[in-house]
Amino acid sequence: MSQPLAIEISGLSFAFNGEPVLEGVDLTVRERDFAAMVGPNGGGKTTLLKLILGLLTPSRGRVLVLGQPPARSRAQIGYMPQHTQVDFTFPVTVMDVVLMGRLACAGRAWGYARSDRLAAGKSLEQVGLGGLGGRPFHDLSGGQRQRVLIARALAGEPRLLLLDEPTANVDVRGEREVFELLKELNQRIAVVVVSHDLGFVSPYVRSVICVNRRVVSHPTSQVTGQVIADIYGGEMRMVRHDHHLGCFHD
Amino acid sequence: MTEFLAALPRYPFLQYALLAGLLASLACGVVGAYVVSRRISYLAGAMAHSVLGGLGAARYLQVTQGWEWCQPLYGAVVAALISAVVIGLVSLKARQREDTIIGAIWALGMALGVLFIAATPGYGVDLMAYLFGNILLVSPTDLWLMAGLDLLVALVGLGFYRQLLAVCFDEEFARLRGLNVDLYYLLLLALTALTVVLLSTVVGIIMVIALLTLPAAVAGHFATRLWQIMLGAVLLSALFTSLGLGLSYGPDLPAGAFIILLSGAVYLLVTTGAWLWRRRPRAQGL
Repeated sequence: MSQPLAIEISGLSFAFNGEPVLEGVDLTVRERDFAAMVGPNGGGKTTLLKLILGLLTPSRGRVLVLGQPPARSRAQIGYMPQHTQVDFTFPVTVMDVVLMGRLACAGRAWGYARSDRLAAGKSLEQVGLGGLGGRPFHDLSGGQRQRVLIARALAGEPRLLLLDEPTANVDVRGEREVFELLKELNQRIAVVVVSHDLGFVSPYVRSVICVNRRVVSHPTSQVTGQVIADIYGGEMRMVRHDHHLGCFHD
Repeated sequence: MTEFLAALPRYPFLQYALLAGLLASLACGVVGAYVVSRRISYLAGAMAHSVLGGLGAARYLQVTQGWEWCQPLYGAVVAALISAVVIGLVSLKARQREDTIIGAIWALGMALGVLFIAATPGYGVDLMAYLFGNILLVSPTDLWLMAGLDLLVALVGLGFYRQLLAVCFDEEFARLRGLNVDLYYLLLLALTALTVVLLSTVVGIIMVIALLTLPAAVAGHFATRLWQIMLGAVLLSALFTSLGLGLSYGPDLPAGAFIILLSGAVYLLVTTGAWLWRRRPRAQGL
C-alpha cells in the first residue's frame, strides 16, 4: 500500500472494569478515505473513537494516527463531538466557538493572533457560514450549529476529520448539506463519521467500519445483509432504502 | 441614603466599607461569569461554608497562641483553597462522588468553624459577623489584603480568558486541542475560592453564592459573550454593594442582607421581564 495511513490500529483490545469492550481490533483508514463507523449502541463506537483520539489508552495493541501515537498527532486531528456534548446556551459567538479550534495553534499566552482569526474566518466560509461570525451561537438553527462545530474542527487545519453523529438533530436537507460538505473536504483529508443510526449511512461514504466488540471494515460495495447480520449478531430485519440516503441494502 | 452620603466623608469606616465592596466587585464579576456559565455555583457554596473553618481556626490561634500575624482572613484563604483542590480532584477523578464530597465539605467547614469559635476565649460576636458579614468592620489591613487578592484574581482570570473560556465551553475539545484542562479547571476553582473569601467579608459566608452568581445572571440576559457578562457583572455588583450599603445605613440594618435583597430583586425583575418579553404578543401582519 503506497498511500500513507490516516489511522492504523493493530491487535487492539480495550476493557473497562474488566469487561471487554473491544477485542482483537485491526483497522486501517487510508488518507482520503471517507469511512462511516456503525454498530449497535454499547458496541464500542465511542470507545474506539476515544482510543483513536488518545483520550483512552488501549489495554493491548497499538493505535497510530497519521503515523504517530494519538497524543502526538492530536494537533492534526479535527474532532467534532456529539451535539449533546456542547452547551448551546453558553454565552459565546460563532467566532468564539470556531476560534477554539485554534487553541493548539495559538503561539501566544494571551488571546488569539490575527492569523488565528483569518483561519477561523476561512473555515466558517468553507462550511457556508461566512459572515455569521458575530452571531450568538444560541441563535443558530440545529443544522447551522452542527456546521459551526465542523468549522471549529477545521480551523486547526487537520489532516484527519473525526465526526461523532454530525447529522443528529438535523433534518434530511441539512443532512445532505453536511455530507456534501464532507465530500468536498474529503478531496483533501480523511473523514471518519460515527453514525448511531443502525444500518443507515450516506452513499457518499466509501467504506464502512462495523463496530460491535469486534471491528470489521468493508468497502461500501461489499456490504451485504450477511455482513450486517454477522456484526449485529443474528437476526436483523433488512429495510431497503431507495432514496438518496439509502445504504446497506442487498 | 442621604444620611449615608452625609456621613461618608466623616467616617473612615464607611469609606473602608464602600471601598471593600468596590474591590470585591471586580473579582466577583470576572469569576462570577465563569461560575455561572460553567454552572458550578454549588461548588462555590461548599467553598464558602468551608471558609468558616478557616476563619475560626485562624482566630483561635491568634487569640490563644498570641500570633498577631495570624489574621482570620489568612485562615479563610487557606480553607477555601484546600476545599477547592479537594473538590477539583474529586470532580476530575471520581465525578460520581462529587455531590457527596460537596455536602461533606460544606458541613465540615461549618462544624470546625463553630467549634473553634466556641473554644476561642472572649466575646462570641465573631460568629454572626462571619456568617452574615459585617462590611462596617473592615480594617485597613483587611483592605490591603483584599486589594492584593482582587488584583491577583482579576489578572489571572482575564489573562487566561482564552483557555478558561475553552475549558468552560467544551472540556473534551479543549483537551484534544492540547490544553491542560485539569490544570485550568483547578485554576478556575482556586480563583473561585479566592473570590468567595473576598465576598464573604462583604456579605458573609451564607450569602456569598448570591452575590457571586446574581450579577452575572442578570448581565447574562443582556450579553452574548462571556467578557460582556464579566463587564456587566462587575458594574452591577459594584452598584448592588454600594447601594445596599447606603440604603442600610439610615435605618441601621445589616448591609449584607440589603445587598443580597437588592441583587435578588433585580434578578427576579429582569428574569421575569425577559420571560414576558419573549412571550409578548407579536404584531400580526396586516
